[in-house]
Amino acid sequence: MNSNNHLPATPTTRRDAIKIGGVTLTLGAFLAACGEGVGGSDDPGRVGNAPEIEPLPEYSVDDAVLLRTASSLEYTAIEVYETILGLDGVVPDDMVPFVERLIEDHQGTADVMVELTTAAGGSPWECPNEWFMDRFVAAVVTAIQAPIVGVIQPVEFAGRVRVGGEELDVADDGTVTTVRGVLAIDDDVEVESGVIVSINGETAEPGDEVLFARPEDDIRADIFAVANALESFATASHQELVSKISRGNVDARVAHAEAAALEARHAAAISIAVDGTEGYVSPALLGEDVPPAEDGQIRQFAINSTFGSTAQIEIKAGGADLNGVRTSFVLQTPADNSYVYNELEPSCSA
Amino acid sequence: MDLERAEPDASVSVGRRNLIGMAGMAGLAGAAAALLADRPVLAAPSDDANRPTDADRALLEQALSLELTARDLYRAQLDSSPSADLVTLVEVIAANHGAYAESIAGFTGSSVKRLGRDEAVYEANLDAFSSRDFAESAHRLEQTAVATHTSLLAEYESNQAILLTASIITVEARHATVLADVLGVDDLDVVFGNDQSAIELGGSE
Repeated sequence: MNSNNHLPATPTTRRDAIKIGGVTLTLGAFLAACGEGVGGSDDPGRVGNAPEIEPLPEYSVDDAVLLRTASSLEYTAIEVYETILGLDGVVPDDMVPFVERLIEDHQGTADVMVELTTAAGGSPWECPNEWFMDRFVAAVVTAIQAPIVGVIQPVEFAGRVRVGGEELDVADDGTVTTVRGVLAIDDDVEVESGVIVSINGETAEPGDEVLFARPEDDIRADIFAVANALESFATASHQELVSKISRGNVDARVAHAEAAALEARHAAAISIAVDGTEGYVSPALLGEDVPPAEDGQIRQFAINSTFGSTAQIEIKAGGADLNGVRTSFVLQTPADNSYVYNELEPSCSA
Repeated sequence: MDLERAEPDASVSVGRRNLIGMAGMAGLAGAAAALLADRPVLAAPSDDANRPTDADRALLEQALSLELTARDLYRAQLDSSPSADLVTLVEVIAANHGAYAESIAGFTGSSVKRLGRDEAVYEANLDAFSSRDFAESAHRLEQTAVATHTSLLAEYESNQAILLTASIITVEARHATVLADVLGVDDLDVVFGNDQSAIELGGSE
């Protein structure tokens, strides 16, 4: 469509011709300046004094890498369970043999992966996976054990503390009663007539943070969720590795399938330990919604899906923030960033 | 897993009887053995490494028959009015086996209706699956299925067959774990182990 503000498609007057020609000249000058043969760097322009980006080394992925990654995941699980067993009172006495069996099974699978790594010409990896330890395990363990943060409310709400999305009265014994139970203040507080007057020796003011200890039951629930997620993650990882391993490496293919089956059993057993018969089958398999648990946790079931899933696994860990929101943590099956490449050296003493 | 549950009744044993042994080695194993006699002729690898080869299809058809047998046995349990607390479980497991059969059929181009279940294995297990005490036979069935698919996995030549089988194995292992809980088993060697053998299909020469 032509208008007075647009160039005519075909010049019909000298004015139009000049107009078009001028644009053409301008475009031509532009293209000449930016076209081929101009010279100079093709790199994107840089502003400021940021250091030069060093290209990442390119490491190849072969069967040895995949098997080293697999053993690293097993050692990660072992590390997690040994840490859990070391947390005082978290694992009920009657569940200790169960956790010890999980450790034993993961060690058995790790030993198989180590043997297969050697058979594939690789150097065995007998340490946890640093990527997952740094980005998942450390963060989750910290969150689980961290106190819950509350905030003293403004003067007009004297005596109230906001914690976990609720505004609550403080009892003289330094506790608050939430919808899920009683929380005890972890700080050294002085309470008078339901008002916090001092925190750790300092005069308490509205807006001051108050720390609440996470109840043992909540810590225990998180531990089970982590264990379940870890087993499902290990299952999914081995399931993927079944097809990623080279076609001729039948021993490794079968070993990954057996590991996936074993760790699927672990996950199923944990779901049943947590929820009993309610943990058998996911409502999603019946076309129903799967609401989170009362504590906001994403529910896991013994039979989660029709076919084994390799999708990411999400859990909540730690207490709720001031808005009642719990932090999510995600596990994704190994890929470029988490592979244990042949060039990497173990950092643990095996 | 309720570790404090009482020991199972002495008459209930998560035993070591082979699923096919109950059918006198006829049916699935017999048909498979006959098929294997011709296997070298069937082995014609496809140019596309992802799609099932002719050899894969032969094995997948046996897997399909196993899944249809399993589906129909769980349906027999449903027809027998299982206890209310187990209806959902049985429905889901039956549906899962049906889904596996359909997926395998999709990959092989076979017709679920044409191939059908293995009648010998079905008949051998029907009485057990038609009673309230079906869980022991069901557990053994799932364990046998896991063992069989794992064995087949070693034989497949194509990525599709391998991927599908791996995704079936992990869920059938979960089925078995749930059924062990239904049985009240707290022996972790049983819960986490598998002493069932694959249905004998033979291996590479």
